[in-house]
Amino acid sequence: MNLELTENIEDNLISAINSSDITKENDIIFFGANKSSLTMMEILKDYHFLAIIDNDKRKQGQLISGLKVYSPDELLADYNPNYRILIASEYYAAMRKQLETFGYKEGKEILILWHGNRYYSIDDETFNYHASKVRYGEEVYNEFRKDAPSDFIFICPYAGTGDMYLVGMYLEEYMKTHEITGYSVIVPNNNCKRILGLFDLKAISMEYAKIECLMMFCRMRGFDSTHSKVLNDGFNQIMVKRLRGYKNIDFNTMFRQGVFEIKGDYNYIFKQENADDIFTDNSLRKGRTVLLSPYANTITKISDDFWIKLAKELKALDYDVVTNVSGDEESIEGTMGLFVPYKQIISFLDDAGYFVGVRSGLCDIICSSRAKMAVLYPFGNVFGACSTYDYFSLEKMDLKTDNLLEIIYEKTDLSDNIDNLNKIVDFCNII
Amino acid sequence: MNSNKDLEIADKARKYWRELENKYDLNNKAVILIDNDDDNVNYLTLAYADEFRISKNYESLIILNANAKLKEEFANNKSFIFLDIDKEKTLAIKKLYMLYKFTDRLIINNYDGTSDTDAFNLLSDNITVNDIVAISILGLNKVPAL
Repeated sequence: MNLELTENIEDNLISAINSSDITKENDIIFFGANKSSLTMMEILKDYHFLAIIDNDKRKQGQLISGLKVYSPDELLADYNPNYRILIASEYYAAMRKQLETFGYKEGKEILILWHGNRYYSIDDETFNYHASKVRYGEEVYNEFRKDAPSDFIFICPYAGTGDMYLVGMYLEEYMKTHEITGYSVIVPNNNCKRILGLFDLKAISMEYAKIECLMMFCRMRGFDSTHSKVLNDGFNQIMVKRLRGYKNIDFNTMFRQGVFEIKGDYNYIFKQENADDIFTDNSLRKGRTVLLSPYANTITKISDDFWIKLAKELKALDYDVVTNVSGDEESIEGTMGLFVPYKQIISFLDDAGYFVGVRSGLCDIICSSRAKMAVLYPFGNVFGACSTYDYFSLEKMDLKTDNLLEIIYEKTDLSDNIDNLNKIVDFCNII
Repeated sequence: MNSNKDLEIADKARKYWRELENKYDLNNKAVILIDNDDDNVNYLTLAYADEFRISKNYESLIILNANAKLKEEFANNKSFIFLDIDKEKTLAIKKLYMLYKFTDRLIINNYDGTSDTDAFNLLSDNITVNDIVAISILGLNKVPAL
């Protein structure tokens, strides 16, 4: 599969996850025993896969990546609202039609992650499909304008924590430069609202399907005439996305300069609340606590064995080890799960002293902390012209340079990461 | 606000595009719409276009709306087919492309409507117009030597 196709699927899947169109409670069904489905499985590793469906009789009954291939009739005859049926195929329209006969609907149980080459079409069906989205976007816009007739509308289509952090950091400066006073920021979920709240920015949560249509309408009408702007570095913008990682253009630069037109350095440190209560309530020691952060939406998880062994070794060195968890995430065995609100997370880490985690958006938020941070990056060309490390490195972005250990891992098993584990333990233990 | 007018304009582009497809057989060709206010961007788009054509295995490129100077400068390039279309058709094609990327055979050399972010914002001592045109607009892996 080509990179562009993989990235399209990945982008759309991540949007679906962030807007809770797919959750870990859903039973996931892949339509098509093909490479696209395998790509989706790779991205959705921790989700519950039920089966693959395929109309090709030769494939039915086979096992692919441990999943049985069924005919759609066999599996879907009894409607189940918990199913999420994922499609990434040029035959998407016919597949959708077939699923609709069982009562499944697009945007609810059916998620089309890639339209294939038939997307490149000017036939009536494709044109009308997009036109209807614009018309719906117009309704959303008009409804929105009833309450906010003159606000400048900032649309954040992507719910990445790091993306939202950068939006929070630069939005005020952008509004100052462009003399924007009244504004509304539209985001796809409440987590985004919480992150922007750290910057004293108020946001409105809207489901992604509405945001997408609103964006399409504003694009068609013109962003100037709708007083709107999309805040993302490459979401559904292949031309802009091609510059990710090119000549060291990193994540921060894409937002600061590309989206917000800010040249030169600019930093915003948001207010933090004292975190003493977290230490007291959980019997944790200041200066001896390690916060593990093994979860990230877009990065393949390192095996539990790695985290369990790391926690054991750190505890043997007399550290209190806790796992940063939210929602239904589980703590690493042998550690206590801890949810630290964003408004206290930097204060907490300043006092805790240590953070070890995979490179997630949380790292952007906490990078101004004085804590020692060990950050793990997966190896590989994931972001445009460069690796995940080159694009997201906190050091390369100048977001954190001291007390930082950045490690690139090639494989996710413990046995392949013993050296990395030792480096982290040494890093934490050297005063 | 009313989107009907925009959609009507975009709808007309389907007819124009079909005309182009029928007349020029776009199976082995791509279309480049020269639509930037900056002459240098327009020049570089054509200067790198042959590299783009080769990378995609296109037989030739249909260049829409190149000005007289550009046509003269690139007159020797036999893989370029120069065509002029009026403002109405140009706007229609752009509107349709804003609505959705209806083809992988069209390059528009600006970000007005093709993207929500203007990659020219990224210009710096490190990133030149040449980089933006070659890497971002044309999707090449590197900037060709001129």
